Amino acid sequence: MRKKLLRTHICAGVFSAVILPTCLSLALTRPVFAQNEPAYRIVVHPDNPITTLTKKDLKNIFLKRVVKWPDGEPIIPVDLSPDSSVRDAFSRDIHKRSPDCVNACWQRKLFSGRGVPPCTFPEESAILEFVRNHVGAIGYVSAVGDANGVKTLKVIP
Amino acid sequence: MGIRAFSLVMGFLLSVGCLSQETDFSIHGYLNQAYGQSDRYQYYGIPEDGTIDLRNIALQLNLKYGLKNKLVVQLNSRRVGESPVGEFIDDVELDWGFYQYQHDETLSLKVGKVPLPLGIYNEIRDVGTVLPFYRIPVLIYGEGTWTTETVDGLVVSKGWRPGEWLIDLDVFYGGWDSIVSQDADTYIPVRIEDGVGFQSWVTLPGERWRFGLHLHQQRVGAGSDTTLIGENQDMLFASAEGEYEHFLFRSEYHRISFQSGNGTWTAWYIHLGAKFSEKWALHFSSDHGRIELVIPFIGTADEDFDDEALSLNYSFSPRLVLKLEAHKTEGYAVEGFAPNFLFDPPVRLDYAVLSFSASF
Repeated sequence: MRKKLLRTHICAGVFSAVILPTCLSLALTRPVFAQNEPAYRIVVHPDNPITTLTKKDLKNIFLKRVVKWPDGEPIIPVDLSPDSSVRDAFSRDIHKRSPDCVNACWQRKLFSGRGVPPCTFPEESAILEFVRNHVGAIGYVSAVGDANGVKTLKVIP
Repeated sequence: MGIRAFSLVMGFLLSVGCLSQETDFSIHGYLNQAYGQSDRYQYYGIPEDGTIDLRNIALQLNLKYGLKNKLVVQLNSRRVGESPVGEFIDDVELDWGFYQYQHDETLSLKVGKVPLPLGIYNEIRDVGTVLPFYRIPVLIYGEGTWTTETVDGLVVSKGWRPGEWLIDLDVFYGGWDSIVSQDADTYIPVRIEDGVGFQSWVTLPGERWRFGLHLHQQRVGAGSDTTLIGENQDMLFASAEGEYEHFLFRSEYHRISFQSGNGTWTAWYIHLGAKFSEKWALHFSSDHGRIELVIPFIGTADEDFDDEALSLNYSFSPRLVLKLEAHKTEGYAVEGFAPNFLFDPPVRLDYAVLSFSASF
C-alpha cells in the first residue's frame, strides 16, 4: 500500500511539477496572428461555376468530408507542402490548427484506412498548373502574385 | 538493407505515391524501430540485456475507382523483441485489406480484413509518428494479436453533422484470429467468432474534444485449443480525447467480462502531453489494470498492474520522430518465470525505450 501511495505521489508530482506548468505557460504564450487579410487566395478551374465558399466549406473540402461540387464533379483538393508559410496561414485560418496538427490528423486517418490526404505540391506554380488542368481541382496560393488561367474564389466567414 | 538502398527504395516509393495520386492510386508506409531494455526480468518482449528487435514496417496501397469504390491493402512486418507473442507473427503479414463502397459522403461499407474500430489507438497501434510512446497503452491494448486488431467481416460507417457537432458510428460483424494469454509466458491461438459491436464518437464543436464508446460481444470459436471454447465475452471501451496546439489529454477505460471464473479485466489510463515547440514534446502516461476472478473454494482474487511512463519526443518533421521514454511497472506481466498472481507478490521493474519513427 505504501508503495502504491508513493507511486501515486510521484505521478502527481510529475504532473504538478512538469506537465501542468508547461501547459499553462504555453497556453499563455500562444502566438497571435493577424487576421485582417488572409495571406492566401483560393483558386479553382475557370470552368467551375462556384464563386464563393465559406470557411466551413473549405474545411470540409480539404478534410475530404465533402467530395463533390454541387454539379457532381469530384473535388480534387491540393495542398502546399507543410513548411510553406502560405499553408501555415491557410491551415490556421481554415482548420484553426497548425499544418503539423492537420498532418497528424491525416496520418491517423490514412493508416487506419479511412482516407488519403490531398496531394501536396512544393511550389505554388505547380498548384496553379494542376488547377488549370483539372476541372474539379481546388488549391490555395499566396494572396499576391500572378494567377493567370485560374479563378479566384471569395472566402466568406 | 543498407541506408543507401533503403533511401533509394523510399525515394522511389515517395515519387510513385506523389505521381500516382492523380490517378487515384497511392502508396504510403511507416517505420517504427526501437531499442528497449529493462532493469530486471523481461517485460512484453523487452529483456534485461536489451533488444533492438522491436520494429514495425508497413506498406499501404490505395486504389480508388471514382468516388464510390476503393481497395486498400496494408502489409506489415513486425518484431516484438523476445516476447512469446513473436512465434505467432510471420515475417510479413497482410495487416489488413478491404474493399470499400462509399454510398455517399456519410455512409460507407467495408468488406474484407478491416481494421477494427476500437478505442483511440487500435487502428493506428503501430504508427509511431502519431504515437506519444513506442507502444500504445499495453495494459489496455495488449502487445498485439491477443487483442482485436482487425475483423474478418464487414464494417458499416455512418456520420452525422448536426451543426458544429460530429457524430460517427461504426458497426461491425465478423471473426478474427487471436491469442489468449494463460500467463505472461503462455499464449494459445484461438478463433473469435460472431464478434459484433460498435464504436461511436461524438466530437464537440471546435473539434478539440471527442468522446467515444465501444461495445462488443465475441465468442471463442470451436477448434481453439483452450477450455474457453464457446465462451461469450463482453468488451467495453470508453474514451475521451482533447487536443490543442500545445496540450494533449487522452484517457480510456476498458473492461472485458468472461464467463470462466466469472472474471473481469479492467484497465484504464490517463495520458497528458505538452508540446513545447514544433520540435519538442513531453508526454506522461499512467496505465492501470486489474484482474478479478471468482475461484471455487478460494473466493475472489484480484490483483493490480501498473505502468507509468514519461516520454520525450523530438520531431525532425511531422513524419520523422525520435522518442526516449522511461517506464516504471508493477504487476505480473513478467516474462520468463511467470509469477502466480494468487500466491506471489507483484514484480516491480523499470524499462526504457529509444525509438525512431518515420512515415510517408
